[in-house]
Amino acid sequence: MMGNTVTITKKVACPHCKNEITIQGSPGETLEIKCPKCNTKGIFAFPKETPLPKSTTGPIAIEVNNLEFAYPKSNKKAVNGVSFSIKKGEIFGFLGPNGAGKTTTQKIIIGLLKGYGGNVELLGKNLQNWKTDLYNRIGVGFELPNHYQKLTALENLELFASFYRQKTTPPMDLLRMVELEKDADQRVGTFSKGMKSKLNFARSLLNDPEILFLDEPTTGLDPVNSRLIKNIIKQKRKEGKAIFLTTHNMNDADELCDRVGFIVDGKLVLIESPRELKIKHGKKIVKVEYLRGNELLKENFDLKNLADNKNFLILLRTGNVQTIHTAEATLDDIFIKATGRQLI
Amino acid sequence: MSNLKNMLKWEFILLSRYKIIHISILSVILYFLTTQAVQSLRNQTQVHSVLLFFDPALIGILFVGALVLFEKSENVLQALVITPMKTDDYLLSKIISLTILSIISALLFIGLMTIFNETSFNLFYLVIGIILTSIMLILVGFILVSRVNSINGYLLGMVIGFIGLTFPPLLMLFNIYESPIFYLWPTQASFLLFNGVFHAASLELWEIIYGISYQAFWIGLLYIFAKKAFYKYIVLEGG
Repeated sequence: MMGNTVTITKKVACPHCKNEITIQGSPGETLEIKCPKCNTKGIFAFPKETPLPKSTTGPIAIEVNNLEFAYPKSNKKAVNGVSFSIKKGEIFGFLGPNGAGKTTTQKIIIGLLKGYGGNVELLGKNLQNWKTDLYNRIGVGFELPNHYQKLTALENLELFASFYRQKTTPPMDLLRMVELEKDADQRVGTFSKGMKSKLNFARSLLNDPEILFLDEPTTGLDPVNSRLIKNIIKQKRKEGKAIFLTTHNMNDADELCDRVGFIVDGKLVLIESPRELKIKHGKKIVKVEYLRGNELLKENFDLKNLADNKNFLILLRTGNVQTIHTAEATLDDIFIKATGRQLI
Repeated sequence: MSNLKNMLKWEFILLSRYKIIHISILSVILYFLTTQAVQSLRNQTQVHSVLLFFDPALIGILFVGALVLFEKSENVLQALVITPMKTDDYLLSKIISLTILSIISALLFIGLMTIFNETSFNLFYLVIGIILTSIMLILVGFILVSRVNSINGYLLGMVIGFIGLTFPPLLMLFNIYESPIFYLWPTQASFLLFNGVFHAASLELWEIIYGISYQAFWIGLLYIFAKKAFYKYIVLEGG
């Protein structure tokens, strides 16, 4: 991996004499710099490698163009002109309130709803040309548990594995992956909500799908299990799977997604990487909480020229600082701003 | 085909886990005991014909309803429709497994009747009658259950459907009222064949042809409706 280290060349201006200095370093590296003209010392930190806002490497797995759909006996379009694409090795978060059109969009893409307008291509083939063989290549993890309660966890996976034409991942391997191997022979009816949720997730991976649709994959899970599932999702991205993630959990979306799309009233109002969104919609300030005596005080400082801000430096040196936070927007804030609605 | 074979295997495991096999065997024994308890029923072949009809009817229309309602309440159908499973395989696995159960139950009933009452019967009419009636009523049951989500809703539809399907042919079987219009009822064809189980010699050729082909016609028609119902009420409604 060392051979892949990227060297960045940057020109910076000396804050004292404005002399231009050329420096070289790698992402995340901190350098001490001395101005050759006025001998002023300073520190420069190269920004860490930022995640790509969208995958630019993999081929397109899902391409949706101007998708429209209205349910029979309804005058309103449930999906109205939605367009987006997801590449292999990318996690796309589909966010929106209940009834916004998330499920309908997903149902169309996975071939369960016909009579839509626009165009959908999956793995380079028009959706209309796919038959049930599509399901050999995609996996869907539902939010609500859907297993035969009278069958064991292992039997449930074996039953579903029997539908696939290609070789499937051994069910015990999947149970081990989601840490359910000890419960393999227990009937699902005796499972807790979290265990059923993990079994849902495991089943979606049975056929080693190229596209994975996940609906609230961490619902009902404690933080340890939630972390387990999120790590597997990240692993699947590394393996080049395209992942369509529907969630209300903004922390999950923030952590997992390369890009997120906000859907409201059937329209996709915004698509961007969470990082870009947070910076774009945030305030360029640093919020500092500090103690003076027993009193907790707050002060905001402009991010620009923070290193030269005397008040900020004095505050740091007094040693009573409790917290320091930049004020980038949260995905919740951005959602409300972009759509004028709360996530439900 | 391997998909269907697999599905059949699992269907039998589910039938056993949901105790449907146990219930159907128990119901046969109850039918038999009823015929033994009531002296006048022992040699009443019309009643035996009705019981022969009720057995696949119960297994078909009631148990397919129970199986699908279990799958609906457990949300399993939602997961099934996004697998490469074909609707035909799904329907056929239910039809074949429940029909096999019907045949076993009917043979058990007739076997008991033969052992204890020395009732003579025609195996051909028995098997063909059970197969056709069972398939027909499983499909009726499936079409009914695909539209509802509760046992109450299903029972209501089933009772209305069952009375509508069986009442006119029963009138004819017990010689209460006869009308050629009753031959339009698909169950008339069933009763005719079940009557032939005990009175094979009395069946005329046209009755045999009618009994088999009319049920086969209905099975074809109902199968198309069942596939449409599967798509409309199960796939589109997300299971």
